[in-house]
Amino acid sequence: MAAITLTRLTKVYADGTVAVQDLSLTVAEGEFLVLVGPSGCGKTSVLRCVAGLESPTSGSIEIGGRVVNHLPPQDRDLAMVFQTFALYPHMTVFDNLAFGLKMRRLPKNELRQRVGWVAAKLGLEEHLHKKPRQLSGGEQQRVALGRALVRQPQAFLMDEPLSNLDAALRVKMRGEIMKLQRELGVTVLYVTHDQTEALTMGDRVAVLHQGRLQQVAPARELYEHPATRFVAGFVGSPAMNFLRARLRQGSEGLILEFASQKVSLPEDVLDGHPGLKEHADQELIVGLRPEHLQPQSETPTAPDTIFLRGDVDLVETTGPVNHVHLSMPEAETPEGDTPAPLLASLPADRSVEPRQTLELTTDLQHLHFFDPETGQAL
Amino acid sequence: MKRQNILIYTALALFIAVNFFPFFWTFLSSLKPATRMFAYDPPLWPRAFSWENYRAIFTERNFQVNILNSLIVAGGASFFCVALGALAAYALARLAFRGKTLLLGGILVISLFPPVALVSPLFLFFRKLGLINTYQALILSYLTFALPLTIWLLTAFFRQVPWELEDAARLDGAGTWQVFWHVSLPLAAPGVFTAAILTFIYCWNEFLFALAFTTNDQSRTIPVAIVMFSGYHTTPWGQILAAVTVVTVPVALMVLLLQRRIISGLTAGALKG
Repeated sequence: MAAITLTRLTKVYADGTVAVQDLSLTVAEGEFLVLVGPSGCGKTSVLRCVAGLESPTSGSIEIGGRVVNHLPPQDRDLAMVFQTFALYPHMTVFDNLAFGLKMRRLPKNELRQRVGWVAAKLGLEEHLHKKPRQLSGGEQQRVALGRALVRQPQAFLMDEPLSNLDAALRVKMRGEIMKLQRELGVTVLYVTHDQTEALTMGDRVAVLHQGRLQQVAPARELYEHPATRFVAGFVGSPAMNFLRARLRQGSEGLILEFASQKVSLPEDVLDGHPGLKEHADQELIVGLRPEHLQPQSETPTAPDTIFLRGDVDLVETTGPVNHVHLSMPEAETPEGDTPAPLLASLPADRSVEPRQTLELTTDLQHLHFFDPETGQAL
Repeated sequence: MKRQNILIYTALALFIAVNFFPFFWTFLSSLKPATRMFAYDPPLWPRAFSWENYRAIFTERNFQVNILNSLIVAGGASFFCVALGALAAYALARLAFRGKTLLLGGILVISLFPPVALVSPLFLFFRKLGLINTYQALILSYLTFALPLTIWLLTAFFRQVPWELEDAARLDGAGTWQVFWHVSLPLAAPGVFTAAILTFIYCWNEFLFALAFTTNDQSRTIPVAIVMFSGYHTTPWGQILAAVTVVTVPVALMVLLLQRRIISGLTAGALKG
């Protein structure tokens, strides 16, 4: 096993598309790092550059401390699991698993032993003589994993390996891949567009947007302290609400104005968001997670509470929670439109009807603040 | 439904009968003694059979030499055609280079040259090289006509092999040649078979070049040899028919054996698998 280090990696395609821009990232030895982003964000280009299937325009790629920029894929000793599985259709499962070992001229008995080990590990023993098309999707996926495992490579690259499976199987294989990774302690660079997959699987998650790295952090930190507005909106489901706000320098400190209310910001909020002080008398964007909104209670509220009022447009029932879509006539979207939409995840026991006006509260501590120009968190 | 079936089967039976009759008659006539060959009002099933014609072509005419010539020429041309064609097609399918469409078009144009126009220059060319009456002359000239079709056919097949399979093989440690040999070529196998069989049949039946580039009985291929059976005054129809029967059987058998592969080859690309 080895670490993968990317230094200032840039990939520009022949047609001028900038797929990856100045990406520096390290996958530590034995780490499960997930590269996530919407389609077209450049994550697959990163993976293909690491694999050697594309050559980077600039920057360096190191595997186990050795620069591999000029090595062809077959000499990089990496294994890759493809979205389409890419099993060799004309070979049996055994030959699929053994192909990489044959190419490396492993002695016959060792080859048989290793294929047997992987087949046992993945429950493929009874399928060894079958052709890939005779297998179910889940079994094909296992063969694809096995073909990577059997090689015992420096690191694993996975390109959306679960997106061709149905939902139930995807959850199951997610668990299996994680278990295998922990058990074998292998280095994995995993690419996906699915944020749930990213958050559940990765030791750390790297969020990529338009070819640029937004943030690398463990899942919890991405959720609690998103570094940019993009990360805030991408991580978490349903997505974060964004509203336009203004910061005023009052006589007793900073005052946040939004949705027709003025709240003075206490010390602990200012300490948590050191960038706020530099944005006095400026516009900014406030982020609010749907799950942090509560229906207004009858009991007196704490001093740090924020009130929001909106008209209910639509109620989506998911079981334990209802996703309530509101429009707030008193608030503005970051783009300056009124009424601003707001999504709130409310407990299902609270009955909400469309067209009703709803009062919601949230705690000041739960707010996120972003610079409207740069999108950076404050 | 049932009536429709009867209609279809009747039509098919009629079609097969009409198509198969010439071959049936060829075979029967080859077994008739010379005296019965031109009998007026011939019976559908002859009363007497004779293997005399078959004995004659193999003992008096050394027809087996011509069969061997044809096998070597057609087999050799098919082999080289597929070997060269597969490499060219793989490159055309996988590499991006300037003027690729033009090159593919040019290859197609070559196959449109009328053979008659090429006979004389090729004859002079081969005579200078001392290749008249050799297998090389025929194999070379057949290659020029069979290669374009093979390249076009195989290019289509290699294009269908998903890129990801080759990527997977490369990451599995295979070099360019190994990817081609272990992954791309086996997946294009139906195309390779189709190209080989079509080339073989083309060479097996080819007459013009074979006539022009061979001058003695020892080096003639089957079609030319059969024509040369005729003398100034007589045409030994019985022997000609016997020879035709002998040389049709292997080709028919080969096509029957490999017909599933040929069909999947000829219809490939019509539907996405």
